[in-house]
Order: sequence, then structure tokens, then C-alpha cells
Amino acid sequence: MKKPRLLIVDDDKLLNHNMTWLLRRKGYEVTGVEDGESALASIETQEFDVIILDQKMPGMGGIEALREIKKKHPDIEVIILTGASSVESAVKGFEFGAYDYTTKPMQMDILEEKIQKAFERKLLLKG
Amino acid sequence: MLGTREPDISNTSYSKLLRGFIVGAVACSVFPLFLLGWISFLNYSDFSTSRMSEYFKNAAIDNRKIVELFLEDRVSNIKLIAATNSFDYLKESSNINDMFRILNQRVSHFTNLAVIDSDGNQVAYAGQFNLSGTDYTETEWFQEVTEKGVCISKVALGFPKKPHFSIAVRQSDDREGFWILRATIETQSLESLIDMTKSGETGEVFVVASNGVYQTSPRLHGAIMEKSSLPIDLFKGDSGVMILDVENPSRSISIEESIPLKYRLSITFSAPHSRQILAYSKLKNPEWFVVAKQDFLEFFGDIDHLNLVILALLHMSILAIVIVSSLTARYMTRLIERRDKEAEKLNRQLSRARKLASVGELAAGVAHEINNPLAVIMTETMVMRELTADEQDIRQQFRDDLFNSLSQIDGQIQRCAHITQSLLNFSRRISSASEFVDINSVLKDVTGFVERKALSCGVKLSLNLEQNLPELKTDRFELEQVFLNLINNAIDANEGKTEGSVNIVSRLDQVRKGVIVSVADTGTGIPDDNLDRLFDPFFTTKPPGRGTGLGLSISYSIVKHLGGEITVQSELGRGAVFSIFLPYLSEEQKNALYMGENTTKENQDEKTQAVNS
Repeated sequence: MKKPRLLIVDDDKLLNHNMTWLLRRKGYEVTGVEDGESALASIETQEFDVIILDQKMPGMGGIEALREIKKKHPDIEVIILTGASSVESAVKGFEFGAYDYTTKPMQMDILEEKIQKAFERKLLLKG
Repeated sequence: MLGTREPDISNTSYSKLLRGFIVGAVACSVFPLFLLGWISFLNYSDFSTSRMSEYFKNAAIDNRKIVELFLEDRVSNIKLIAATNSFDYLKESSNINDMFRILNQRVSHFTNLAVIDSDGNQVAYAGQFNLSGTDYTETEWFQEVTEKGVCISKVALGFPKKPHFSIAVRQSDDREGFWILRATIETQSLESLIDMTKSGETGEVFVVASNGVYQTSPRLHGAIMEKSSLPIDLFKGDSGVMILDVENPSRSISIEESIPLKYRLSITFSAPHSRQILAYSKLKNPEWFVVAKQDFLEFFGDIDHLNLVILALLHMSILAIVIVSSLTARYMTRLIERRDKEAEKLNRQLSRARKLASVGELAAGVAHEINNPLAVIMTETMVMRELTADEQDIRQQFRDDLFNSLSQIDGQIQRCAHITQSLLNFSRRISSASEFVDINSVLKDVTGFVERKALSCGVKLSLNLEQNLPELKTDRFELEQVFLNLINNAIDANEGKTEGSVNIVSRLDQVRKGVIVSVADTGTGIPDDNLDRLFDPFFTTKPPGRGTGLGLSISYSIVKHLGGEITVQSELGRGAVFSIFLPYLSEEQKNALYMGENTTKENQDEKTQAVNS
């Protein structure tokens, strides 16, 4: 099965690095950036299927970045990473078009599952 | 901001308040009443005693007028006889006897009638005892009548051995120069006149001469011709009133206008019986005094009675005011005390809520910040696993140990995640989805979750649910969390007991309009010291790693959020009972809610508050 192209947006360098490393080992094509602005720049130059977006970041926050991404590329699926598991933030994410959310500290296998599902949805909508 | 406790209002300040109330009420009502009462009492007694003593004086004056009229009448009778008959005519025994008879027919009580010539010799006589020829030249009355023309003598016993006095008139005569007609009258006639005016048990009216000798018989004390002990020297003017001290007459006092306060007070409060009121009126001729006197207390008895009634009423109303105002003051103070205590309780709740709110904000921040490094650690362990898996040269034993350690780290990460999740749940203040919830079904579900745990701990779970409870408009998920917390705690509390049990009860509270759910354990109970801190965040008695200390404070904030109340009762060694009260809506309000399902959240909150309050 085709692996989705991923963009990881998280201001925590270590976490960003580890996720990138782990997901690449699983065979994904992964790009890591550390803020919303870079993420917006990246999607203009590269193609992505799924974006893993940290909700809380300095500068442009996750929800704001999500809005911009969805405005320009509504086909890219977004999974919100949140430090605070609350219905509130999740609902906000869904409101702006996020596909799913997961809380930190996240289990990588669960995250992978969500990535797969998001990718499948994207393919379905495209198809 | 953590709430500071209001300073305790001690019992002494309440009793001070009570005293203040009573003193205020008494000062504002009793004092003026007391003043008014006494002023009117004194004024009234002044007025009434003055009027009465005036009346008494008039009685003496009236009696004097009667005596004067009596004497004038008698004098004019004698004068008439003397003027209309000649000396020679009256000298004849038969003539004077005729005159005496005519006189006594008209006016009684004449005992004799005599004609005396200018030399003082009695020349004719009519009456019982013939004293013809007696020479009166030296007598007092003869000199007086010669001089003044009329003489009314003092009372004497004389020959008839009956008290009498005489009236003598001088009649001019061309031949003789003058002659004298003299009549004797029994005092009894005078007495019968003034005796009619006697009053009361102790009242008497009598005539006394200026030398103090009784001219009539007093009704009660003394006798005619005796010298009285009256302080005649204190009699001033034509008439007057005085308060007579019987035992020491010289200490008697004259009353000019009003009776002095001391004597007025003594009417009501223990006057000596030796005190009498006395009125006198002076005759011009002879120098007699008509005296009326009566026992002081008897005379003013009616005033005394009225005064006593007034004073009794006054003091009774004062007493009533004091009693009523102290009862009212006591009631008010209690009311204030109760309100203060309620305010204090509310204050404590408010400060707890504030504490929880601030802790909640902090917790959310902390949880957020910790979750990131936790995520890093978690990914690191995975990286390590992956790297180790790649390495072929590692001994199997080392690999196993390493994987084991990594699993431990994962476990601890999960534990931390659980804590931060609890913190976040605690700080969560979002409006929960309100729906009509059947409390009993929530309780059954929750018991289902923990049944396995209870079984493994050897704790018996029992449910006593009241059927047909009204549904509550509340958040099912949050309620589940609360009940789960309480039941979990109850199961934990039974730890170490061989036959522990947890009893879960639901029942209707008709009075407060709501449902009460109680969870009772048979554990060791909660020490008093811990009761106050029970609902504080991070307070736990469980061993490290077993509890976060957030369960009860989360439960507390959830129940508060749902408009309910959570309370705990505990008996050391017997266990603890946690009770949750949740208000329900009346049918009417329920209908209103159904109809306006799309009303804003604020509106609903208001309604819920209205029901709670």
C-alpha cells in the first residue's frame, strides 16, 4: 500500500526529530518543520497527504495554521496534536477541518493508525 | 487568590450586641415612659391634693359661716327683746318669764334669760336656776358688754352643769343710763349644727377658742372645756390649711399653695398615722376658730388608690417593654448570629472555590508543559527500541533487560499522563452537555465498572435505589466520574478488612427538591483533622502511586458545577458516608426547558440557578 507523505509541525525540536525519525523508519516520506509559517511555506513547495500539527506553538498557533492550510489546500488531511486533552480544543480543531486529534504523550502506533485512516479518507475523497 | 477566612465573631460580641439592643430599646422606650409616668403622677397628685386641701379649707370656712350665722341670729334675738321692751317692764318676773317662753318657742336651747342693771346686779331672771341678785360687776363679760355693747362669752360649765355660753347685749336707757339683757345657750345647739358636717371615719369639725380650749365637743379626741394640743399659734390669717403632726404639733406645717412633695409621696408610700390634714377659719367675735381635721391618709385615700393604679400600670408596662424588647433583641441577635454563620460558611465555600479555580488554572498549565516532555520521552524509548532491534551484536539477556526497562519507562509515562489528564479534567470548566439523566441507571453503570475491582478486594457492593426518581437535567459523563471516584474511594477505604462493604443509596429529597445519592463504606473513617482538607486538590491519604489527591476535589467541583452539594459524615472506626445532593427541576420548569430547548446557555444557567437557590 502506498505510504502517505507527511509533514510534522511541532516546535519541540526533539519530539519533531524523534517522530520524523520513527515514521521514516516505518517507510513514510516525512518532512519536519518547527512553526506554522514554515509549514505554510512547505505546502507551497512540496506535496503532502497528511499534516501532523501541534496545537500549541509560539507565533502562529496550531489552530491558526490549520485554518490557513485548509484555506489553501483543503485536500490535505490534518491531525491535531494536543498537550491538553479537552473536548474544547478538539471541537475547535474539527470546526476548522481537522480530521482527528491525539493527545501527548501519544502512542506512536495509535498515531500511525490515525495517519493511515486520514490518508484513506483523502484517497477516497480524491477518487 | 486564596481566600482569607473572616475573623471569627466570638460569642462575647453577640452578647455585647444583645446588651446593646436591650439597652437601646429600654433607653428609647422605658426611660421616657418612666419619666412621663412619674411627671404626670407628680403633677396629678399636686393638682389633686391642692384642690382637695382647698376644698377642705372651704369646709372650715363654711362651718365658720354657719356658726357666725347662728350666733348673729341669737344676738339679734336678744337685741330685739332688749330694744322692744323697757327695763322696767322686764324687771317684772312674769314679763321676763313670758319673754323667755316666747324666745324658746322660736329658738330652742336658751337655758335662761336675765336682766342686769348698769351696776352689774341681776334684777330679773327667767330659767331653771334663779340666781337673782348676783353681782356681775367684776366678770369679764360684764366689762366687755359695757364697753362693746355685745358680748359672747367663752364656754363655761356654770350652774346648769352643762356646757353653755352666754350672749349679753347692752341697751341704753334714759333713766338708768343702760341696762343689760343676757341669755345663756347650751353649747349642744352649736354642736348639732357643725356636727352635721363631719366626714369619714376620722373627720371631725369643732370650735376652739383662741386660747386653745375646746368650745364644742370634738367627735373623737378630747372634750369640751379641755385644752387642745392644737398649734393655735401657727394659725395665720382668717383661714388656712395645715398638715398637723399629732405627736409633735409644733412640727406641723402650713400649706400655702400646694402640698410639699414629701407629703404627697407619703400618701402613696407609708404615711405615719399621726399625720392629719387640718383646716381652720377664724370667727371675728368671739375669737373662736372653726377647725376641720381628718386623718391624712383617709382624706387622700382616693388619690392614693388612683396613684397606686397609675404607678402599677406604669411599672407593668415598663416590665412588659423590657421583657418584649429583651425577647426581640434575643431573637434578632440569634438571627444575626445565624446569618453570620451562614455568611461565614458561604465565605469558606467561596474561598474553596477560588482556591480550586486558581489551582485549576495552574494545573492546566502544568499539565500542558509536562505533556510535551512526556511525549519526547515516549518517542525516545521507541527510538531506543528501534535502534536496539537493529543491532545484531547485543546479548539477548541485555536486550531483554533493556526492553524491560523501557517498558517500565513507558509505564511511568502512562502514569504521568494519567496525572496530567486528571489535572486537566479538574481544571476543565466547560459547559457540559445537559440532558435528562436517570440517576439510578448511572449508578448501575458505574457499579458495573468497579464490580471486578470490588470482587478482587473482597468488598461487597450493595445498591439500594429508590424507584421512580425524577430525571435530573445534568451531565451524565460528569456524574459517572463523580460516582466512580466515590465508589473507588469507598472500596479503597475497606482495604485490610475481611468483610468490607460499600452501600450505595439513592433517594428523593422532597423538601429540597432533589435527589440524594450516598456512598457508605465500612472502613476506618476519616479523622477530624482531615475532614477540612478532604476536598482540597492533591490531598490524599493513599500511598504514593495509588492516588493523585484530585478525585474528591474534581468530584467537588463537578457537583458544584451541577448545582449540587457534596457532604461527608464520618465516624472513626465505623466508616464514612459521602452524600451528594443534586437538584431536579419541577415538571413546570422541565416543560419550559423542553419548549425552549434552543435557548442560550446563559438562560439555562439562570434557570438552573433559580432552581438551586
